[in-house]
Amino acid sequence: MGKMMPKSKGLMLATKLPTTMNDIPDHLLRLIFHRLDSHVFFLRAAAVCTRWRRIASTRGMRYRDWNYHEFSTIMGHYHVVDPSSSSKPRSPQPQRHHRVVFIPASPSIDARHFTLDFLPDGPGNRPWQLVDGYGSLLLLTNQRRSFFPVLDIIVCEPISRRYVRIKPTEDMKYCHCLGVFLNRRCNVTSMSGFSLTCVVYESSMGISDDVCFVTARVYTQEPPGCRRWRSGWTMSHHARSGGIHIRGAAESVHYAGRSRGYIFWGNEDDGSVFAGTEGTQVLSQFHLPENVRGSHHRSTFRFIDDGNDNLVRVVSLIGNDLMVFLKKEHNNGGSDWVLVRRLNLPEATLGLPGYKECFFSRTAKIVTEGKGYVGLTPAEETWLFSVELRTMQVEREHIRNKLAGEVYPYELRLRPRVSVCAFRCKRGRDGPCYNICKCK
Amino acid sequence: MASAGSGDEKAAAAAMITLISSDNEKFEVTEATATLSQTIRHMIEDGCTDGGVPLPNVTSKILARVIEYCKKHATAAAGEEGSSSSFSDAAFLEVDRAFLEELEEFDDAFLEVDRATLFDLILAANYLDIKGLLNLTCQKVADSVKGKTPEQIREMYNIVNDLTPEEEAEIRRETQWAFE
Repeated sequence: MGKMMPKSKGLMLATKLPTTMNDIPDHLLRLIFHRLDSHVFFLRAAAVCTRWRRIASTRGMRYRDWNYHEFSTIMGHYHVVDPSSSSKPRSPQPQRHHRVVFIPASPSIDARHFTLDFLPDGPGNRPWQLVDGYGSLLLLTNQRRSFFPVLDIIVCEPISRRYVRIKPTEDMKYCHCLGVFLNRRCNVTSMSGFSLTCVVYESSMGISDDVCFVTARVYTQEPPGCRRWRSGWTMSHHARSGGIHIRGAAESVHYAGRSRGYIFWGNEDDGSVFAGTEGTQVLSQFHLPENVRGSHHRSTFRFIDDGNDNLVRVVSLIGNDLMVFLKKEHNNGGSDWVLVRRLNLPEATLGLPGYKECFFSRTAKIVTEGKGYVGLTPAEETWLFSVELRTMQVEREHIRNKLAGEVYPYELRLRPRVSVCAFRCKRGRDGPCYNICKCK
Repeated sequence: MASAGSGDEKAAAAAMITLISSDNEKFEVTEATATLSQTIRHMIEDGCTDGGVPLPNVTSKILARVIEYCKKHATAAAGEEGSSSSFSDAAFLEVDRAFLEELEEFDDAFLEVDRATLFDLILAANYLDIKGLLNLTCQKVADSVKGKTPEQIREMYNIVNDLTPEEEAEIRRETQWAFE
């Protein structure tokens, strides 16, 4: 630490020249960038030269460091508006499709740069359905989550208007899809390096009519430039070995949130829960204890991420209380669900604008969940409010409560090299295609 | 703290540290001032400060400024035991508001330097591991970049634009709204 080796004379002479920005090492320049408090300043700095671009980029950086910026890296949120729970239908014709709306995080961000009009037409001219988002990527499929044959998947990056279309494997076409997800475990997710987990089921002929076999498939897109550049789905026999059998009608299986790298589904028939591990084919099935589940209904519980600790948590509606449980693992392999927070919803929402006496005569519904919060509504009518899990603060005015449905934050991510797209060079050059070589 | 080495020989010098700049100028500072630098603090703990601390990366001009900063901020951190590099929030609250304002004024005046000196201060703060000074100087550079276009930034800091026109066009296309 304290070694002070006298430097050579030459170096001393060199330091007599006026010090410039070029003498500032990368890690100090990064410190300076961290102190830029707006997206605009940051993006402009990233356009100065290749060195600044590289330092501002997120590749090779741990997510924790990246998150250190003084400004929020969230550019806005994509809302998937659920047509069934729209409180005020504006158009006389009921909307059959889930609209996607982008709400910018600050007035300086223009929403028209985040539209999805660059996507090709979906199969059968049906609009693409937004089913997941992570970082700067969005995941779209030809149908909403659940019970559709796997047909077509698109991963896109609206900020750069790029997309890649992913075809399922032949054997997946005979399955029905429970959900497709972008894996959040990767540190850097960009158009050129991401992975997906797709969970599918097929009815197990010959065993029993109401038994399904659930498997998970992983699609990996390796970053271009690395030797083992390849992309594709995992082999189906790997997926089958990690699969599980579930009992009950397929319609009773529902998505139940994500937490710490697991994706959860609930089964309304027998109250069981099964989980897939992101990026693997491994599925597991378990039951939540009685005290954690109020009912078997799908809108009463969600698994959720807090973003800070390494624990799986579940929020559960029991009567009029919203409860947060943490999964505590024991050394002997067992685990416990520990109640950490409790909120009486009628009490907490009383006095908020629009509150009605009739609310909460029935158990409320969980509408959506995100990092550290859960969105709810009373069963009587759509009156969205969110609860911040850290503080149990009830919010009504938050933008995420304006539109019912799933919400995907859109984060600013920068790549160190410009114009890396996810396809091989069409001119037959070795390696990935760069748009700038005009090979389109 | 400085128990190792021949501490008993120079009892009076225990509280004073000699810093030697790259051009061989000597600066006598109190230990409280010097330990604002984590680098020097570790050297004191290791007991290798006898005969002065050579700082081959720091010129006398810059070292004088750094010492000026440390003296001022050492008084602020005086009541605080342990970490000397930066002030914790709690310590901040304890310090009288008037003194804080004075400290802020001092910092503002301290940063009224030309760019080369500012970069020298950043490098010295990094080398000597003085967190407060590093934050202060980095913030100053960050503030100077704010609100500027890439061309203005290049001009201000004499940065050569090595992006190809295509790459530059692509960057602008990707996030056009940031350049409007």
